[in-house]
Amino acid sequence: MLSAQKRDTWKLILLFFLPAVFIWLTTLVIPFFYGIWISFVKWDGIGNNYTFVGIANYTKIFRSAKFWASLNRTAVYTVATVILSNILGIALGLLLTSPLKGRNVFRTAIFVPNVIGGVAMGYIWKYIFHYGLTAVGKSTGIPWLATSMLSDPTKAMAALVIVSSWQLSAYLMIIYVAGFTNVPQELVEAADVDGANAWQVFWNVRLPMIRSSITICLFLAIIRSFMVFEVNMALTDGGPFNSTEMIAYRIYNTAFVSLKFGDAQAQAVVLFVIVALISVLQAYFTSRKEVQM
Amino acid sequence: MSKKRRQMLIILLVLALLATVFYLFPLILMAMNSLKTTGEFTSNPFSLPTIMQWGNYSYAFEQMHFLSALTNSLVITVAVCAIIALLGPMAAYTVSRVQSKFVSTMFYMMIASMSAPFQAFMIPLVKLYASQLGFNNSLIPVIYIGVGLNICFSIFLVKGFLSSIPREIDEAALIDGCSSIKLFFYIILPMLTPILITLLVFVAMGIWNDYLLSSLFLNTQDMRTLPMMVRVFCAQYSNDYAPMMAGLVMTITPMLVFYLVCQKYILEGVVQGAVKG
Repeated sequence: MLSAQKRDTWKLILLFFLPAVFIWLTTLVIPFFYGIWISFVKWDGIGNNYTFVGIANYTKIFRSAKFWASLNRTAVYTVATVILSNILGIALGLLLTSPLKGRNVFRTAIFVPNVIGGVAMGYIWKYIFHYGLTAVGKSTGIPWLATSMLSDPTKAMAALVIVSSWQLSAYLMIIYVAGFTNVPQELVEAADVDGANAWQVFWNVRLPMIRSSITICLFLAIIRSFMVFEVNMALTDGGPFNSTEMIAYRIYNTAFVSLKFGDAQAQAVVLFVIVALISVLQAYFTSRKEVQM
Repeated sequence: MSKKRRQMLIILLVLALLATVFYLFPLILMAMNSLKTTGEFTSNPFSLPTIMQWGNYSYAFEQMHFLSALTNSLVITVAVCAIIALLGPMAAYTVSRVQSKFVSTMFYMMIASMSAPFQAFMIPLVKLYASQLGFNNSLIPVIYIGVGLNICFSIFLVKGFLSSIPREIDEAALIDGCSSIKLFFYIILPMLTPILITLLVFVAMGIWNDYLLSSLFLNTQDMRTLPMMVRVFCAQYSNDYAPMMAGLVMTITPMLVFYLVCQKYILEGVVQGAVKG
């Protein structure tokens, strides 16, 4: 009886579990270690002409002003996007859990930007910045709108933040809706009875109650923003003058445009370390407060 | 209903309508301008089209090789979903029912790897699958890696659901002499239907919209997917904005229809996926 049970267990592990583990090993784990090896070689991507260069790729990127500039602007972009998307997301979450008719229809409609892929979305917005907003600028006579935002380095960066936050906030909205829905109604009513105004109820009752949703959304936004790629490529293509080339897009260009695979992989490893650190922080913060949604 | 309350409801409704306009106007503009000539499009971006230019659509259809791109997107998405639908629950079942150090260690390592950036694997994946295994310009590595990128999430999601199915059901079946494998296919798998729909709809959305992974492996026009063809189209015909909008409408519509049918599951997937932390 016992041995039959044991055999059963082994069958499960072998037939049910190991196929998934195999795929995981061959698509993530092995490529990861192989990638670390690639970051120590000089390789132009054509054929098998590698030369082992040790940590030269790393010292090169750490000395490269362009790499630091890209990392720096990714950080700036991330901070701006995280703040803007979370404020919008909380506002939407609050609005769409209020006693409003047709809440579900509004939720469904507002989430739509996340259904469209990053590439298509980038192109639609590119057209809006190029033609839509400039037309508004010309007809209203507001000078800073009359030229395309995408042709000025600072404004192009702002455009990228706007588009990313527009999409991300609609995503976070769903998580915030779940958070606000779980705030016990008695608490809100009790505060009402005690004479708290709408702002006080929001600030002192609702917001503290959705703390775990906020933690989740902040980290989700940080990680997503740090790895921004498709919108970056479609909306600004890193331009003007490389002023909006974020780190993930830079890695892609270093590898598949400049064909410097060793350099690109070294940058990718740095990105990996940053994201891993963020994830460790996230695990620390979410384990401190119980995550219940 | 008091007057004050009615006023508040109206304000809320107005705010919600404004928000909806803000989140949907790019799509509305896109649809409107897909029916104009490029000249009218650039001079009057906000007006309705004077004469409907349906020709933009047939032109974009040809330029994008729409049918072949659609087929490729469908093949990849369906294949990834089919494999995930089987392997995800199978592995999750093992994790939740087998007491083994090996299984639980592997599971936690898989969960930990979920947030790793794709850029860290991108170059080695190309090197391994395209150069060394010879899967160049083929849908196979895209499907296989697509499964790899979603397998951990699927095990995680299904395992959470399995924990809510009482073990007494298992035990009763096992005592009756049913093997674990039979038990899984006849009893457990049918019970997983709701979480499987959420999972698959979510995975399908990600794979359908993927650009980066497919662009690494698919090089010729006949192998490309819809999101890739949008890019080719835009880069080549950058002065032809109106047909480009038509092309975007055609790319987005299948996903939009899919979303409207399955929206409940997609929104559920967002919430359940977020808790992974």
